[in-house]
Amino acid sequence: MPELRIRQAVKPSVPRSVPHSAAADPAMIEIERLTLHYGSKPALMGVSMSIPKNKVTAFIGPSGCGKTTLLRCLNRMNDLVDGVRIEGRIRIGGRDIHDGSVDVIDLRKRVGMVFQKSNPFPKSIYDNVAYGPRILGVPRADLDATVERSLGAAALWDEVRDRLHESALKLSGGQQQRLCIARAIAVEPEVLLMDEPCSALDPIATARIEELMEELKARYTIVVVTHNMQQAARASDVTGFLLLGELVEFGDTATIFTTPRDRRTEDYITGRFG
Amino acid sequence: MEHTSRQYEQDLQELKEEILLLGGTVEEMIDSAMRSILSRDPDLARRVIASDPKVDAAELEVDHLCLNLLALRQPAASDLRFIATALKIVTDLERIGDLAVNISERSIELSEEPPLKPYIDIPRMASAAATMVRQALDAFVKRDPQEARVVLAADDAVDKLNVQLFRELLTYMIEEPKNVSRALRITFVAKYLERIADHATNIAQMVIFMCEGRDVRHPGVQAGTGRREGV
Repeated sequence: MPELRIRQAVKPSVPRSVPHSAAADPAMIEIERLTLHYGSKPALMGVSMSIPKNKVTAFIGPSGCGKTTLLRCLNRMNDLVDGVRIEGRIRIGGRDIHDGSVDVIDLRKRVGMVFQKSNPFPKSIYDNVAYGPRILGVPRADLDATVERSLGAAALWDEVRDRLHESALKLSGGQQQRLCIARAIAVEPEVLLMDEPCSALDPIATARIEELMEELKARYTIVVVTHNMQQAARASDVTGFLLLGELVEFGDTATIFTTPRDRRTEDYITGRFG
Repeated sequence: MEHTSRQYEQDLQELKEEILLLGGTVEEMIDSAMRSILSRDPDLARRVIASDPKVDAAELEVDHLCLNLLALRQPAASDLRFIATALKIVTDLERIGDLAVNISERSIELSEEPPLKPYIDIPRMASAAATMVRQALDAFVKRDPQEARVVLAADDAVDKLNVQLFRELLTYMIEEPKNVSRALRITFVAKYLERIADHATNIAQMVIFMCEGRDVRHPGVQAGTGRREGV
């Protein structure tokens, strides 16, 4: 993919497009001047944004712009990478996730994640969904209800109710991805992170996941990274455009896709490269 | 800056050219229709009427190109606004063509009777309306919102000329009932010219939207009560 030819030394700046309506929504996640280096290489530069509660927020941008890195900051997945240095602050539900008192395991329970490639455990459908709740000590008697509720919320229950004890690996790609969503929401997170959740799916399965996002946002705050700009346009309420580690523009999706304020956003979403 | 996809770039260019071609045709139609009135030339008027199917065909072609671009390219931002503008102004251009045909029809009728009076305000109106159409199209090509605003400002003058002309013709009708049919025809021509200026205004308003992303059509009225609002 051709890189945008735009001056490298972009000063970290406050994004220009924060419409009043987006800013007025209660924030679930507040990011302040987040800077991240992999070794000496900067991956995020002074990113600040306020991700609204019960909305779908999409991060878009060319490969290497930092969108997945930003997503992985939200449940501290980057802690696992050697040589990472993070500055700035992230608050989820008002609480600083880098605070010494925060238990990372607990954080990841609150902030669930669905990956690009569906990754069900080589276990039964039932056990995949029950895995998290079991570890968290949900009583055996409540497990059935939790599994049914989660699979129902992930729009999978009707398709698998008669074969809950079959291997999850027998499901189609789209079903496996919905199973991963069911598994993520089984532990009742507050935030659901999705890293290109549809990139391996056909258009019908993609449409089902997008529909699911629309339904799930009533209960969860969803943040999705996508390469597919049409997906961001269709499925998100708020969009952030990242370029070379900088948050160039952040605001109402409809505004970003009709009248972006920054020339770089305009060039990216209209498919113009210098 | 050009699109990564050369075909997309070409398709957008083709759409622009098609609109300009259509714009050129209707400008010529206004001009010929007015000359046919002033020189009492029914043949010229008939040629204008005969060129209308060309305008209709161009309208369909523009619609076709726009729908294809929307379906196949999922345009966004300035491209989306350009295509939305093309879809809307093509209707205005086609209506301008129809109005030129209407002027030509009245021209043929007027040529069959002796002249009522020397034309003074009608050529002024025609010139102002035609200038507005040309400037609106220039603003579209150059993506120039300032030039579009000049068009908006010119509309009032045409409206005033229309009212003035109507008053004058009314006196002719009151004076002599035999004048009524001719005076009415001239009144219609003035009304057609006034409508042409209105369509030019619509085009100019869409050009401002295309350039700035702001809808200036109805000040004080705000769009967007859909589900995406309040995000």
